[in-house]
Amino acid sequence: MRLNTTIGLILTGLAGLFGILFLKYLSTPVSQIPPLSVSASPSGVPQQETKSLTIKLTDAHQAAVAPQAAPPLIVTAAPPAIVDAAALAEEQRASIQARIAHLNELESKDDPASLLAILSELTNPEIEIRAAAIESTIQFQSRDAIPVLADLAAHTSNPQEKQALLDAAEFLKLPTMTEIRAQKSKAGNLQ
Amino acid sequence: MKMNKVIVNMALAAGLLAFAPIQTQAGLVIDNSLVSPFKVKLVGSYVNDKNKIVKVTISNKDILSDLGAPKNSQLAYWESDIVVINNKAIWDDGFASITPNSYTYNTVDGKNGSYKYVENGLVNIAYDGTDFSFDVNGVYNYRYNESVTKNGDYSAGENFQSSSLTGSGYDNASDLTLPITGSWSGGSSGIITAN
Repeated sequence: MRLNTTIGLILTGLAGLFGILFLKYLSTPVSQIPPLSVSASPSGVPQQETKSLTIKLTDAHQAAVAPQAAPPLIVTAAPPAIVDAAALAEEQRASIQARIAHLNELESKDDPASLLAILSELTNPEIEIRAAAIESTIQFQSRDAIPVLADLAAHTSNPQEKQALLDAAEFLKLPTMTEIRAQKSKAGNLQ
Repeated sequence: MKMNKVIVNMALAAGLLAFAPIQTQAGLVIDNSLVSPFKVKLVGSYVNDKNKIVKVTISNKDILSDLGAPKNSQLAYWESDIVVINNKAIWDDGFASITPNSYTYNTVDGKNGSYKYVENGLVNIAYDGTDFSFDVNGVYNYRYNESVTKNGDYSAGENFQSSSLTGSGYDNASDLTLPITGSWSGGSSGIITAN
């Protein structure tokens, strides 16, 4: 009877101790849990440690420390009908017009940075902007643009765009009226 | 927020944001009229003293240089006239004319007071500068559209072009007439306030 009582007390004590340890573990703050980076580390992490962490973490913990596990932000997150197509088209149109207006400003300048900005728009995904960039390249009047135009023409499959690029290059190769008049002032006249 | 992200992702998918975004801006409007950048691109030719036919180009910067316009000036079409714009103000006008002839036109009305206007005909563009001048003609088309905005103003846009200009140029100092071919184009959009 005494032995049974003693064993019972010991078992009860052990159960209580395990219970306290278990509760203590559950109440441990996230910051004190070894960082999930261990599970994100592909190697050098003991298999056992990774396994135990993976098992014991709640979904909330996983979401907090492993943002890469969150679902990717894609269009399917919202029904297509929610996207206002008209507003998007209007926004796109305004963006194109703004870029073309910017090109018009750049072409009136004569610094290399402006030329570079114009030339960068020759490969814009929007054909309307590319066409405006060709015109702005012509109006900028720099022969530095000729090899760029020729190179792009060689890599352009659209025959009309290719011709426009080649025409622009040919136009820039010719002397300008301002240049001819400057020569004339030295030589006497155009002839 | 989520909608914005969706839109941005769609734009990215479409390749629309391949370059740094530029702040959206309304086109220049002076005295409640659109100011549209005006681009001219001409090629003249003459025979030189070695019997060679020499080609010469005339574009906006040649005209602006001939007029002695300040740096960063632009040619523009404004109120049926060709003007020089500098610092968003008219710097010069009256040096050129643009005259439509034999044109046809039509207007199509849309919803809520919006409409689209199209014009097609012959145009004469004449420039009378300091050192040179030209007078060219060609078939042109002109498009204008207008719609009412939420606050009652008008959102307007126009574009015009002629790719078949022919005519003659004249160099004052050399007393030389040049045959000229070329093109002309332009356009812009902006907000016209309601009266």
